[in-house]
Amino acid sequence: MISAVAKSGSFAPYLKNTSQAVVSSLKTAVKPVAVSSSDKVVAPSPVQSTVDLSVGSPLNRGKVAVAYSLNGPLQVRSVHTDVKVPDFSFYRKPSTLDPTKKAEATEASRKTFSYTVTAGGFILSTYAAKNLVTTFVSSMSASADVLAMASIEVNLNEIPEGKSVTFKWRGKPLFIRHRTAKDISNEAAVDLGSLRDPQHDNERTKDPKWLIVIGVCTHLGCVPVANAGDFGGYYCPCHGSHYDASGRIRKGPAPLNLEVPPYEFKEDGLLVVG
Amino acid sequence: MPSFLISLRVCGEEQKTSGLEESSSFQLNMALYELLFKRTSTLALTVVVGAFVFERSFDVLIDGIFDKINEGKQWKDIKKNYET
Repeated sequence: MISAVAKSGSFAPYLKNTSQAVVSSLKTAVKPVAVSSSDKVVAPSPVQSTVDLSVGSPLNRGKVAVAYSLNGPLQVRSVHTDVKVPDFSFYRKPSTLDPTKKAEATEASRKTFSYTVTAGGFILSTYAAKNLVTTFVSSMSASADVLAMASIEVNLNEIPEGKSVTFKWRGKPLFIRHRTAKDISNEAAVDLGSLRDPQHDNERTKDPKWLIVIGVCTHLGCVPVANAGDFGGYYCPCHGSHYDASGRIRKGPAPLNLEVPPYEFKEDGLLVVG
Repeated sequence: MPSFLISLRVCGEEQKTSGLEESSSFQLNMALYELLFKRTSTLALTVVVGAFVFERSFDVLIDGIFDKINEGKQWKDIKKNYET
């Protein structure tokens, strides 16, 4: 806005720096008036404007008074202190009405609401995601009727020493063997280096008196015969795998020891398998 | 000083005297923002803890509504008729 008059292209013909008042040959519409250098230029009263559409209107249009002298001012400077600044306080938040406040001071009142909404959304989506994942994962686990059939209880008091009894557990034969002291000491003394699937007897039994294994041969899935074979344990008649009294493979084609299921001893000689 | 600055300064002073800083909702906002929302780490912690609290309370609420609607039809309600 500074020197809008003086630098304005359309007014250029009137604003030449001359020492004499000469009517422009280009246009004769305005007659320059000689003003002494001590006189002040009186700017026309500006239009009261608050929008930029009307910002241009304070410009001098029509008659232009130009002061000129050797040491006189060559510019008209409009002082805009009287221009009314648009008031946006209606649109402002109450906390930001004071422009001298630092941004940090008003941060809490400006941001807490949107962050509360954000955190609430996060919480809801976390809950939804957790339930979604839980539903899918639990659909992979066994159903309740299967789980109800999944464990059996065995009264160990009914199994005499030295005898191997077969039960059905989850559709598979389960061998429970009440071992004698001789069996226990024999199996504990076996050199692990000589075994195909090295496992100490301690790892396979919780109580050395009781051997609990799944009666499925690890070769091709036949059911071994108890108290048979070269090692006094189990013998698979299909392809001749010999298991010892700890259910470990000792001879024949089977690659692994008989599987030990999860089991627990309860009070009063009660065994729970599964 | 330009007049518009003066007018805004006056406006700011009016704001101060209105007691916005002393109001309890402002204090609550301030505490929430400073403690929970300002840092991403505390926001994440807020979300995790909030999810636990929300899950517990929401599930209890919904189960309670379900039990109320189905009162007398569920096994736990008629159990006493069949067991001694």
